[in-house]
Amino acid sequence: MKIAVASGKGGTGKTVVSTSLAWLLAQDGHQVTYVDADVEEPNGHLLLRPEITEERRFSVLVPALRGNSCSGCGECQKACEFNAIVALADRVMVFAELCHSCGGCLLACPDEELIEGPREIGTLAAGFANGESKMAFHSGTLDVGEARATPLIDGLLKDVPSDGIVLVDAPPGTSCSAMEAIRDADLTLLVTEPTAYGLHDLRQTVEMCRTLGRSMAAVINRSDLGPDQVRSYLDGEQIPILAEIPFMKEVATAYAHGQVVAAASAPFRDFMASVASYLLQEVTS
Amino acid sequence: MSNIAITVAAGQGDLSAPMDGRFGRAEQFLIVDSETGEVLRALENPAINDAHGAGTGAAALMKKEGIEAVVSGRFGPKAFEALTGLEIVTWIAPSGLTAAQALALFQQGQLERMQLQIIR
Repeated sequence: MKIAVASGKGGTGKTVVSTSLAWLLAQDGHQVTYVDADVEEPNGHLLLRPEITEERRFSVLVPALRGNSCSGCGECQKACEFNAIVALADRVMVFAELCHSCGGCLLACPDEELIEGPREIGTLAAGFANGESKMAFHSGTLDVGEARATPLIDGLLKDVPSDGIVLVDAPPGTSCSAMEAIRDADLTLLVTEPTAYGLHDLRQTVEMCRTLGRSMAAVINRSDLGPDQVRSYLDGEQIPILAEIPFMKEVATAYAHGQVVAAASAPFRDFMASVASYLLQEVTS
Repeated sequence: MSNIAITVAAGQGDLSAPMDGRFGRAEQFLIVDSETGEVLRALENPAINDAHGAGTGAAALMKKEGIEAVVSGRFGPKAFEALTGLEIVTWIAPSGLTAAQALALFQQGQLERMQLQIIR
């Protein structure tokens, strides 16, 4: 079973909820894998404090010239949808940061002068967390300055075993990277908050999930601090609300100290338990 | 005769248009005979809304159009690299000018060439 935890708006509590759910399910004896797919700003490790046992650099393929025989004909430039190649008089200039690794330029080159080579864009890490109630931990970190997170998230998810319960901490927003993180999930758990910003971004995320044909459920965090529109919106969309978690100072304190919140706060743990029981009952992989 | 391009914000396709300060995301490129000052044609920028690569796309367009120099307010690092590779000269004009004023400064030799900047 694969659950993606997504939000639209940043800062609603995705990482608090996903690390807490992972912790709780592992405590209950389930085989759990926590995946931090928020590769532009991964921070699940701050709460879970995993022991990293494997780390590797991740590369995408980009074109380069094989030798000095390029005629500068420009066929590869024409084939590139992303303006990553500029043909000069007697060679081509490749802007690797713009390349989407489609390989079209290699097919277009009449002289087979282009080859593909690796270009590193980030790091993938794997290990274990949670002491005796072990859970597997996977995370990706995109290099600073890289524009495209999608291939790294794809590589990260391919490394993750499909058995047991997989919790994917998705990036915020509705861009390609958010879509990549929720694409294969059996259910997307939306973590939202009752604020104007929360509602605005939630609408976009719901629309994204509908477009991708993903089923959804929601958790309203800090549910007592704002107006009711988020609740009525979710009801109107027929998205089940699994928990409405009021603001609790002990939650904020645990979070501020970098603790897994479900481990530190009994009331928060109870909310996570009802979310977990819904997931175990309703979601089949 | 040498053809130059001046980046302009949307106008009537003539030299009264305000110069667009950005190369890769300029609305239009006015192709001008730098000696006579005659506007040969106005090109819409096809790459203006691309998420990435607008600058390299525009540079390739300049090559295709046989342009020898471009006058704009600013060139991004990739656009500058591409234009330099294509041996197209990059001239910087101050902001707030019309295309006619930028052209006049170019003809009087009062513009500065963009210098190589190490930005990373």
